[in-house]
Amino acid sequence: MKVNSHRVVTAAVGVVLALAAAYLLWVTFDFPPGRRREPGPALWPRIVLTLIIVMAGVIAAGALRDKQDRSLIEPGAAAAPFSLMGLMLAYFVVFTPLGYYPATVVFFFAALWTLRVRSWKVLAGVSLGFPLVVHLVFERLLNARFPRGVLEMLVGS
Amino acid sequence: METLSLLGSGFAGALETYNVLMLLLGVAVGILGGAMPGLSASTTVALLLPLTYGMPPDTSIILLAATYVGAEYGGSISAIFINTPGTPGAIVTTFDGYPLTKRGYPIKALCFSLVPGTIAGLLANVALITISIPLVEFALKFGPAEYFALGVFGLATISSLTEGSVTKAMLAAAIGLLLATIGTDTTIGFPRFTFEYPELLDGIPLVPALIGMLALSEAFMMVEELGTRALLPQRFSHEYPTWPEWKSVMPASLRGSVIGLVIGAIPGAGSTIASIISYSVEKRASRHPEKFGTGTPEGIAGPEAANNAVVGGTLIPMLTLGIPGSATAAIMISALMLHGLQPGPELFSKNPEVVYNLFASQFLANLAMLALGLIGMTWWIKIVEVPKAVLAPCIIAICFVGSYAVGGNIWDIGVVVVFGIGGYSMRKLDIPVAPTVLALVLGFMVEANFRRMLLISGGDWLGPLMRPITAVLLALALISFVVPFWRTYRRRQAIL
Repeated sequence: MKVNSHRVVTAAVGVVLALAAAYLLWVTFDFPPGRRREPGPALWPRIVLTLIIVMAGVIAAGALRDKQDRSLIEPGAAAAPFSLMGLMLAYFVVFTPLGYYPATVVFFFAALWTLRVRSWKVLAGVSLGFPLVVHLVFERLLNARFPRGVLEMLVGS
Repeated sequence: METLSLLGSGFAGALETYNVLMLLLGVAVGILGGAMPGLSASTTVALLLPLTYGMPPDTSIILLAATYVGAEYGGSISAIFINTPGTPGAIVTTFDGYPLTKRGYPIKALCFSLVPGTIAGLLANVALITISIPLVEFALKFGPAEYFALGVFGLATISSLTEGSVTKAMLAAAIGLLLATIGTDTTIGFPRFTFEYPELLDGIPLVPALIGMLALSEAFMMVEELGTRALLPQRFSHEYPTWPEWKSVMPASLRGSVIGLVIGAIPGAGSTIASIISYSVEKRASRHPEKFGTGTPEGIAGPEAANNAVVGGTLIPMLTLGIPGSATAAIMISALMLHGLQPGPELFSKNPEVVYNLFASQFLANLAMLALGLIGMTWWIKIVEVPKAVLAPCIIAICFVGSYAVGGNIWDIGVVVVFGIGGYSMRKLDIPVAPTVLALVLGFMVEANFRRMLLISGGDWLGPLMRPITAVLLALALISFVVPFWRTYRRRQAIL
């Protein structure tokens, strides 16, 4: 199977969506009935899920019938978004344990470096400037509070 | 005559130095709050509520109403610059506002948002003073069946107007409707599709889902285009709209104003529906509907006018009946009640100075919005001139901060991440994300009113759907669905 084929991936996603919707439709049969004349919590999701099954099926069938194809992502363009996605996931994972400020500085430095920014002024300015602005606007002005993580352990709350 | 005299004293009150300062502060904070993804108009107004405790009642309501006005415009700034609507009402602004920025004209895009928005705000205010009673009478005709039909009409319209496959747009809308069903069922308290995750009991948090799907996915799309020119600044024109361009958007601004005013007067309908309907009307009225989605001025002006007119419209049921038409109006009602004032007919007779100060301050707030918006344009444009290699990580960090700051919950960031990756995947498969986002916003309203409608009718489907307003809205929804299929069929026939 061609992983980067728009046609093949569209058909596969259509099939997966239709199957997932069919499973959720099956789940709705465990929902309780409504009280008295109330239609109950299952009716609306069933209508929507049926619509999803039909539409996903039509899209999958259309993709399989389609004679033309193209790349899902241009080969040269795939690295940057997936690298950024990986860094974003890492940022999310360390957001609480490492603390907002250290995590953000590291994220910015890594993301900018990955996206080929090599100017030290930009690297330092953005990596340190962004958290500083967030601190002033959100923590000082709006009383929001971000996770302290390791900073709390090092210097207390 | 009495109205004019009261309005005169309203202007005198609103123009007192302290009130003018609070009005300017409100508009400025509103613009900034509205522009920040995650802080919607209602959140920004709520954040300012504690400041009003020590203020006189008229000043406090001036501050909050000015913030509301500013926030509705502010929402369009991030929509135009980074494809991220700061407020749900600005989702539609991304359709043509962001493409116009990508074509190199961010200042024009901002002008097509700001000026029609100001005109709409001023017109809505005139209507608020003159025709609020008949508008309220119309709005009160809306029962569950009408609300259901209005929601279906909004979704049908947006699915049919989105570029590309209508089937994919309908699938996207259905996915949004399904996501909106997750959480505790409000009628009997049954948890639906929560799979024993307690975090899902309250449903999918709307703001993180919205900014994830639109903004994060945009950040990934942005870096796809990066080559070795990571730090090359983007070139944008600083041109303002030409006179012919202004002339072309004026009818759209007026139509959007009327739509926003009427929809705003219907409690719970809100700016999202108003802007969708306005976009639909503009595309259908245009001689070049194929240009919509590529940065057409009418596609920005109409929805933005509707979006801003909703503010005036929302104040109509709030002031005349004491019914909050939106979350923001509910906060403003609570501010009035904190000062011992009861919104509704009695407010006009017992405290006319508060009402007319508010009317006058709405005029002034719209003018202040225009002035601050024009001054701010040269600053906002610096955001888009930032190289994409710097802007993309900033968008990710803003999404994280915006979603975490409101609830202080790491779950919300998880939602941003999941919806961001989901949105990017959908875009790569040519499945439009806008119908999913809008269905997520409107899903609760559509389902709740659908069930209420059936409950009231005793399970009879046909009766409620045949009510005049409902039948017209559903017929329009059906036409919206059928026309694109018909056009595709005709095109294929012509090719064969």
